[in-house]
Order: sequence, then structure tokens, then C-alpha cells
Amino acid sequence: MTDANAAAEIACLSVTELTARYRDGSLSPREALAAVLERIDAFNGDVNAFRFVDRVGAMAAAEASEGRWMEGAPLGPLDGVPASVKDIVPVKGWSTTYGSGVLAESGTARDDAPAVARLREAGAILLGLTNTPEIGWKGVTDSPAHGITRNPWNLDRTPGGSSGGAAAACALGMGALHIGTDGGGSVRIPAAFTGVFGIKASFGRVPVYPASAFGTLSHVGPLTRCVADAALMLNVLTRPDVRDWYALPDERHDYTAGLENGVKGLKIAFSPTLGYAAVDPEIAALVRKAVAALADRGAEVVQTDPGFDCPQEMFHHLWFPGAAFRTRHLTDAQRAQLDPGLQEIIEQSKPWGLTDYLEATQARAAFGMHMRKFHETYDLLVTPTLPIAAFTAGEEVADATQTRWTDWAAFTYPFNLTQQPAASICCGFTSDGLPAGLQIVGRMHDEITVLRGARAYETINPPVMPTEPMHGR
Amino acid sequence: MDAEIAYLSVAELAARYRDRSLSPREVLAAVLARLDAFEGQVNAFAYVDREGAAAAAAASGARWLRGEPLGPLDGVPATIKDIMYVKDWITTYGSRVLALKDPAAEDSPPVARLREAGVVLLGMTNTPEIGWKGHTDSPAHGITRNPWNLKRTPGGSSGGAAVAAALGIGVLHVGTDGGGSIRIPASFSGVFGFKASFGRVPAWPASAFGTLAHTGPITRSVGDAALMLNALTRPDSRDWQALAHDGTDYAAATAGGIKGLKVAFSPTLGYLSVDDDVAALVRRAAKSFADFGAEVEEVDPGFPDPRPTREVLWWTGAAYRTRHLTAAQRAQLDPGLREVVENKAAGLTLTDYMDAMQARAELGTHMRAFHDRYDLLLTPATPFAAYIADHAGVGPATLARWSDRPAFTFPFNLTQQPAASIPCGMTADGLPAGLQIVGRLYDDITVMRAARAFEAAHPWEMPKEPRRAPD
Repeated sequence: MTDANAAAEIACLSVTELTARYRDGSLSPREALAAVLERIDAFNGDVNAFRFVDRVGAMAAAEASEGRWMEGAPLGPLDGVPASVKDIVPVKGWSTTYGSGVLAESGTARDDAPAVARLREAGAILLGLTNTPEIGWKGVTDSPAHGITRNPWNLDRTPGGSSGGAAAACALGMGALHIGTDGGGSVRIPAAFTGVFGIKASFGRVPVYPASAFGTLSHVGPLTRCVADAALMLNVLTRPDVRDWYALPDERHDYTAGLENGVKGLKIAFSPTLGYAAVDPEIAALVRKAVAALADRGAEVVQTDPGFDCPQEMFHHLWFPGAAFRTRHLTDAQRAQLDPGLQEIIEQSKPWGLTDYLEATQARAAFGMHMRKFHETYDLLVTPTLPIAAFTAGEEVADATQTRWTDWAAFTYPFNLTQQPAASICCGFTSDGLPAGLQIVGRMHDEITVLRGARAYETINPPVMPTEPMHGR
Repeated sequence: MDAEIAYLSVAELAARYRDRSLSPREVLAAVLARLDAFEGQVNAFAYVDREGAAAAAAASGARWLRGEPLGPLDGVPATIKDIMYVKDWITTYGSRVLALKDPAAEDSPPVARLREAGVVLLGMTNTPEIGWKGHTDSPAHGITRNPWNLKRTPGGSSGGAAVAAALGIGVLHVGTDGGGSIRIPASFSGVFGFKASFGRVPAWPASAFGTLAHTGPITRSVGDAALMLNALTRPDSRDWQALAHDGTDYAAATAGGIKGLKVAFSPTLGYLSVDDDVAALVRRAAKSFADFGAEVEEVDPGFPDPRPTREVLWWTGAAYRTRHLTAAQRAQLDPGLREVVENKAAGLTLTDYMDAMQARAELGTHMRAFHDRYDLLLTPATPFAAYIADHAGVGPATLARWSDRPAFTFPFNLTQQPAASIPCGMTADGLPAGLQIVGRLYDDITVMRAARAFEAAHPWEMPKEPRRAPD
């Protein structure tokens, strides 16, 4: 085995494997960090997943963790595990840019955001900040500040977004735990395009501060290579933080409990199109096969649509004003430096008034009620995460029939409107060698069943990661 | 005899239904006798369903006789504020122009839960139009009056509910609270009122005041409210913002006392002025928490008056609720409400609204941090006792009278915290004062537990009949 192969193996270990080896002394947090940094050195130039790497801080954290493991007093199951943070979530001593030249923080953050604070308390090694489009406004990852992030399965393609840096880093073994955010699919989209696991828990489950530009649409959640890593990460991320006024009651769930219970007896609704989306036939076939596999394992699968109309207008009426509000203090000259697409949605929202917003809010409540009633019957809803595989990097849309990223993200943003827990897990590869994602949606507050369904599928179809960035065929 | 029966608690009623010394029909008769005797003076009800109540009481009586009651609320008389749906009844919202045209096709969640629990639904209690203000008079149903002094308002907007509770016209009263509308009438009328954390009690359809509006019990005792919460908190898919049902038994959880809790007492929130007699009663009550083993510290929560934030959200909600009315219809609104929707809300923009929502979230964060240090916050529920009813809701000066009134209640609608008002004594004028008990968000149990401890040490009296005190 070459050194690079050894580094690759170490860098792609799961949390459970890492900590088992820390415990038995066959690996140290410093060695794990070295392997991860080697991958970053080798591949970040190709994929541009990280916009900042804190080698000094990471080394100090690894050393401290190593000391704790040697004393037999680790802080918990995440101690010494390398982690990244999306460049939209403040990290103490680092400077958040939000992928923006004009909205970047002028100084370094004085406090960790809740998700970061929880990982730090748990002993994770914070590697750096992953790329995002400006304020995470779109479903692909390129930004005025840090350029284009690329998909390790095909460097010509986008990893999706807005947590595209996190997903690319995850797939390539540049860290085990990756904090993403999801306001319209921004965890699930890049998870699907890069073949990793991503979950947004119910709104309020993971405390957030400061609030996102996209308010009650926006969730913080993990991107990981396997379901168990995400469950362990959620155990930490869901701990209470008084700074998030919207946070749910602290119910101290163990998200790893019941992970291995399988899908036998679960009532699963399979909606291939949500009743309105056009899906690439190859993706549709992969998703259908995945659903059949769940049925084979004893799930009661019913093919049915949840029965709502495409809520794209509703979403735009809540999303675009969020972008406008976030940028309201910019001068015209500053606004001209924003991502042109972001400028467009801000412009588009200008004629919309308070009544439009309240009507969208009211329609959202009716939609939320509709889905709560739907889940009286079904434990899970499964759909494709995306109707297409990854397209050209640097573009917002896949082809000329589309104008906005929401045109191809029709499966994800509905569940930001309803705030339900939703995950994406890889369900195979297209003939072009690009990953397809299966979306698993749970009833509000029931992320445990989402994780359980995802883990069941993962045992059928274990995850495959790219060993290195690949050039398009 | 009627009075004695009508003032029985839920536990007492259930015991007597069980040992057959009393039947739901007899209790209903006692309650209706009080209604007939007093309603002309207090105007608590917008609607009474005698037939429906008689049928429900008969059905409940049969269940008790079979030894198969639906639970501890079976056969207990209850009322619903005229702002939610009761199947086959017409909700008027206190309005001539916003009333339902046809009877409701289904129960709102709290009504459904009470009905499932076997209660006897008496009727709808009065509210100001869409519950928009802190006392109770409306274009549709006129002025509701305070049983402690008929010249005074019982407060509002759940004023009908509070009056009915105080006079023994029903045991369980469903109120709503978007800015104090449970706690203000509880304080002015001398009963117990509790708004649980937002989302704890499923609601539908949404209030005009959206995420400010809570649903909760108004009762004569804390124990009755706890048993009522056990029903009201059960899940209902129609409320998309409802919290997960955690199965708490509030009746059990309310026992146990508050020894060792850290309690903040803020006499003015740092910015309000309070009538001397109310201030003295509240101070005495707050200090008495030390008798229960709590550690009481006089400290303000440290936020500036959030009235501007509240006004943007409140006015916006009222304007949105009435946006489809014609000018002729708007002219039939409560003049104060009309002033709000035509003038105060005019010119408010989406940016104003989002600024207010941001300020609200900051206040919420501030209070979450405050409750890292304190389990409870005590304040006056209202800064004064009940004021004159007849001037309260008429004419354009209403707004100045009501919206400009100092209020201890609405900050905790902005923050969605659980908050109760519990009677803490009578002023020299013979009017009740209320102590507000505020808990950390989602810690409804601790508020109820503190209320129970206070009630046990300082029981209060009911008016028994409407009083004509000199003014």
C-alpha cells in the first residue's frame, strides 16, 4: 500500500471506525488529521471545496484530542474527528465571507455559531470553511468571492449547492463531518450530486444563530459519508443553545437509536414526480429500483403523490424577499458586485409587498397542514432528490428550458416550506458515472424514522466514494 | 345549591359523577340557572346551545352510569371563545362583517379535544372583534362586564370566558391570547388563565395574529387548567406549527412545589408604571415565593419596551385579516379596529415587517438567555385593576386608551413563552389583581407548578354573583 492509499483509507474512515482506532491506539487524531490534510493538499486545487483551511488550529485541536484519548478521557464519540464548516456559519477566530465580497464580515467571529460550538465541545477537529454561493442563495456552488466548486465525480460538473464545498470535501475524505445549511435543498442537492449522505432535521431541531437570510426556511444539518456519522453528529448538533429563539424543546433524542431497525412495517409513500416534476429516465429508474429494494426489505410501499401543486411561486415569494432583506443596506455599487443571479431575484422581489408575503405565509401554513395530514397515513415519503444528475459547473441551470435553480430543485424546497426532516442518500450512478439521490422525507419532528429508512437503504446499497477527483469522460 | 354545584372543580365533579351523588344533567341545570340569572347583567355569551348541551349531558350521564366515562373531563361544562370553530355553530368573531356565513363544518382542535373528552359544550363566549383588544366589547354583541363591579370591564379579549369562569357558568373555558387576551381578563376577573408555549396547544384556523396567538385555559383553579391542558395539548395535524406531543400529564406534573427554583421578580419590567395598590399586592405575592423554597431576586429582564415591534406585527395581522372588506364593511368594524387597519397599518412595508420579525427573534434570544439564570419571571399581570367598561371600546379614542396602555403581557407573546395570570388579592376598590408567572420557552410545567404552589398557599374567592359596586 502506498502512502497515498494509506491516507485515503484513513481519511475515509467513519466516525465509529476512527474512534475505535483512537481507543485501541492503532491511530491517533494527529495521524487522521495528517491524512485529511494530505487529501486537501492533493485535491482542493481541483475541486475548490475549501476556501479556508486552519492548519495551525486543526493541529492544536488534534493534539489536544490525542492527549484526551491517551488519558482515556475523550469528550465523546466525536473527539478527534475532522470536521468542516460551511462559510456561512460563524467560527470563533475565523472570518465568515458568505461567499461574498461585499457581505463578508470585516473581522473575525467572536463566537462560534451553535453547530460549531457543539462540535468544538465534542472535541471535533475544525479543518476550515467550505465554499458556498453568496449567502447560500442557489443550488449550485460558485461565488463572486471564491469561484467555482467542482464535483469530484466529474470536474466539469457542479457538486450542487449551496453546501457544495461541504459535499465535495465529504466525498473526497477531506473530513468526516460537514456542517451544511439547507434553505431550499442546500444540504440534499449537493449530497445527491456528489453521492454522499445529507439530512436536514426538522426546523428548530438544530439551533441556529445568527438567523439565516432565509429565516424559517433555513435549516442546519450534516453531510457525511454514512448515515451513522450523521446520526452521531445530530446527537451533538441538536443540543440546546439559547441563542436560537426558534429552537425546538430539547428532547435529548439519541439519533443512533433504532438505526438498525430496518424498514419492515414502515408505511412508505413513493412519489416518482410529486405529481408535477419531469425526471430524467435514468434517475427515475435508479430511484424506482431503490424503492423496490425497500419494499423487498418489508416496507409497505404505496406509489402515491402527496397531492400538492408545485409550490415554486410560494417559495419564491418567501425566498426572494429574504435575499432582498439581507442585502437591504448595500449601496448600489455594492449590489452591483453581487452574483448576477442574486441581483436578479432581489430585483424581482421589489414589487412584492407585505400582503404578498403574508399570503405566501398563509399558503405555506395550508401546505404544512396538508403534509401533516398526509403523514397520518405514511411514515415516510420517498422521491428522487433531484430530477437530473450534476450539470456543468458554473451554471445555475442544466439547460435552456430552465431559468432559476428552483426549476430543477422541485423535490427539495417543498420540504423547507413544510420544515419536515428530509435526507438524500445515494441510490446509484448514471451511465455517465454520476450519482443519483433518493430523498427520504419524514413527518414533522420525526427525523429518527428518516435516519432509520436511510440506514436500511444504506445496508442494501453501501456508499461508494470517489478515490480522487475525476475528469469528465 | 346551584352555586355550590356550579363552583365544583373538575376533580370534585368527577368524584360525584362516579359516586352518583350528582349527574351531568344536574350540573348543567345548575350552570344554566346561573346563566339565566346573570347573563343579562354581564353579557358573557354570544351564543348558548341549550339543546346540544342537554344532549351532551345526557350522553355523559349514561357513560358515567355504565362506568365508562371518557376521562376526567366527561360531563364537565365548558365554553368556547367566539373566535374558533365549533361544528354546527356560527363563529362571529364579535363582528358584524367577519362572522361565518354558515355554521362551522368541523371543530377547531381545542374544541375537538374537549368534545372527545366528553365535556358539555355550553356556548360561545364574547370577544372584541377578532380579539383585537384587551377588553371585551364588540359591534356584534356589545359590552361584557366584570362580575366584581358591573361598571368595569372584565378585560379581554377572552373577557366572556373569564366572566363565565368567575360566575360559575361552566368550569372549563377556552380562551386565546395574542397579546394578553387570556391573562388580562384572568387578572381583571380574578380567575386563573394560562397561555402555554406557542405550539403546545394545536390551533386551527390560524389567528389573524399568527405566531403571536396562543390558545389556553381559563379556569377557577390551577388543577382544572392542568386537566384541561392534558386534553388541549393532544396532537392535531391541522396545526402545522404544533410542537410534538410529549405526553406530559399536567395534572401530575403540577404537583411537587418549586423548592430551589430561581425566580426573578420584575415589578415594572424596567419601564412600566403600576398603580400603587396593584404593585403592593403583586410584591407581596412575589415575595411569598420564598415561602415555597424558591430563591426570589428582584431583577428586570433587561429589554426595552418592545411595543414598536408588537405594533407592526399586530397592526399588520389586523389589516391582513380584514383586507377583503369593502369600505362599507370596514365602516361597521369596531372604530378602534378600523383606525388600526385604515391608518395605523397603512404604509407598513415588508421591510418593516421583517425588521419587526428580526427584533422579535432578538427579544426571544434575550429571554432564552435570561432563563438560563432564572426558572421563572414574576410581574404584575396588569398594571392596574379593571377599568370602566363603558368608555372602553367606543369611539376613535379607543386606540389611545387601549393600545397605549402599559402592558406586561404582550412581550411574552412576542417571545412565545408560557405565561399565566393568577389572582393575588383585591384592591381597596374590591377588584382583583393578578400576578403574572412567566416560564422559559417550552417549560409550561414549571409555570403550572408555581401557580399551583401559590394557589395552595393563597386561595382566592369567587364573586358568586355580579356586584354593583359604587364607582
